[in-house]
Amino acid sequence: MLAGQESPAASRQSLDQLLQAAATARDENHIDEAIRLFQRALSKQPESEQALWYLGTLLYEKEQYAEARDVLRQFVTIRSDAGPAWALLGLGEFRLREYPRALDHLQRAMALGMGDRKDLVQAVFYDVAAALTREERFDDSMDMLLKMLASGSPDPALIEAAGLAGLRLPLLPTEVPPDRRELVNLAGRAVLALQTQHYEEADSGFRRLVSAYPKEPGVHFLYGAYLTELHPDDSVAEFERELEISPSHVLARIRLAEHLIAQRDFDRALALARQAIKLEPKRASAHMLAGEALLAAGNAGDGLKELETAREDDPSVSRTHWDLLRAYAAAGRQEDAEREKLEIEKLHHAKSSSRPSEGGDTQHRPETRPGKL
Amino acid sequence: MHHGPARAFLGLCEYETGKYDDALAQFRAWADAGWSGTPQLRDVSVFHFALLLGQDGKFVESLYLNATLASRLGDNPELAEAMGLASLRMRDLPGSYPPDRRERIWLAGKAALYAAQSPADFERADEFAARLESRYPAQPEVHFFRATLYGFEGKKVEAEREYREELKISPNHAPSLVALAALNLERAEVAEAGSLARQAAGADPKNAEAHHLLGRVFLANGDLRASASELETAKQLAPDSPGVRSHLAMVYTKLGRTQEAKAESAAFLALKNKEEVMASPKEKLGEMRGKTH
Repeated sequence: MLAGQESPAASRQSLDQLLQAAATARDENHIDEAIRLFQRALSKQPESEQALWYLGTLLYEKEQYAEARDVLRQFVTIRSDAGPAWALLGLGEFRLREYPRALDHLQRAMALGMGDRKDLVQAVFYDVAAALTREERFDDSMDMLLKMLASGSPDPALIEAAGLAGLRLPLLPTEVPPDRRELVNLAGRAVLALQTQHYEEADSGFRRLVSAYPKEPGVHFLYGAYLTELHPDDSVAEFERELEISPSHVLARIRLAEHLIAQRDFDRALALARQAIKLEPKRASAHMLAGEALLAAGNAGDGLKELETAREDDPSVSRTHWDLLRAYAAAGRQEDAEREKLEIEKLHHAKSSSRPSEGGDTQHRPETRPGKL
Repeated sequence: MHHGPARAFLGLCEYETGKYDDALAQFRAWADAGWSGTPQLRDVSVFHFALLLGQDGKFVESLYLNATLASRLGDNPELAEAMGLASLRMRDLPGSYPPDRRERIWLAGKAALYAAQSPADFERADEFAARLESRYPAQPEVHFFRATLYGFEGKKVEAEREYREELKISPNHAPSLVALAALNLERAEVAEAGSLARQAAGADPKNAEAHHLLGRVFLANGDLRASASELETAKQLAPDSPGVRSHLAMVYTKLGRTQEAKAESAAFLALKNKEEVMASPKEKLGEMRGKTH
């Protein structure tokens, strides 16, 4: 052995001693000392899981997010199954404004599970909802917020997040300009009141919103979506008003088309669905509604094509599979109909076995579900 | 040995570690070597290259690069954010701008992204640009962006109005002055064009287009020596601009400086050929704009 080199046993002992000392410093709340000792431990054994994890958490707690991120990245390369580590990594990246990466890692944490750490789970859900809104995935964001509501008492922090998702404004709560806070808060309070079944408060909240901001993009769509269940005929005027303010609003067209199909006005429904497809060719629900309108008008060939496109763009929508099942059966294509039936059963099974507290799959929900904003 | 993709990878690594100048140099070398690599590597490298060009103040080039992605990838929030930053001429990277600017960057980005679709979706672009303008009518760069968009749509009257609105907010806004000078020169309003180009060159002495336009104004007035001087300055600032070389060739010919005229003509042809093989973003964007007029 060369002079100056430690024997493996001595090295092991000194590493164990370092880790023990670091843990003691951490327990005694001597955070800087604990960080220094864990760093020394890592210089001896760079892959020490214990040192990486505790160092990452301590740096995160000290709001040294960049350093925490770098350490936690190393940790998850060794322990890719550690949900809480992915969570902390994602939360740190969120604070470093690396939003796409944060979203990816936070969703991975949700998929792996974070145990019974309720505060961590709530923080992850909140940041995921905020990041989804920023990525313009408003319906997925709203789903996350509703899960948060379902799992505990209403948190005031949810108001702005719900308002932004409801108005379809891709901003974080911290990015809302001061002169927009009232708008966002009004919308958020109304949305949360509705979701917590405070219907009178919701009704007056939506009315106040529309009266205070009659020309604001997104407001009439949100109000129309609220009215869809209670007063479907009144919702039409709101969606139409939204289209005057936001001529390229895809979802207002889709909601109108859905309403018109229910009214058996298939020609107008088809026209709106086709406009929506032109604006957003990958929007599965627009293809689904176009398919329904075409089938109802007796054009089975084109109707099936549209439904198959809808299925391809989003296979998780059971309504599309039901439409296809009926259409294939009517066309005498029993084998295809049988396949759709199996898909429906699979979706039903997946839905009933998903674990809502872990987030589940939030990426493949249609935005035309009844009773949802 | 083919080093192109390695340059791109290196550029991405330098970007990740915050060495932005080095990253930009790697991406430039990658572009010079022919933009090679897998489609995924090209897309991610072009995106980051464009971000760094914006940070370097090369907003038009940044927008052109991302426009090529937008026309292929369609609506994409990250692309919209990057295009919004360049559209508002902000030298920030996505994670570094003041949070209260997010709304205007988003609105500008969506407008730019829809304008870059193939075919361009100007209706939708206008919807977002109008929202931007009505929300932020007194903020710098908003009217300039709106004017540029109108320019793409061939709406020269509206574009001119918006450039002038920008000048009310930022009286020495060189890109607006240059754009107005070009519009005046197109209409053969040489005196007004000269005054605007001179003001632009004064406000931003390193603006090649301001000197180029001034050179063209002097040429139109028959002042060949002054024209040559301005065009030479423009050439120094933008050696790859075929337009500058072409005008220099014309002026040298008129001055009887035949050898230099020949050299500039050859440079012009070489640059045009190069442009066809490997598009120079700035010139290509100018060409796109010209086609929509």
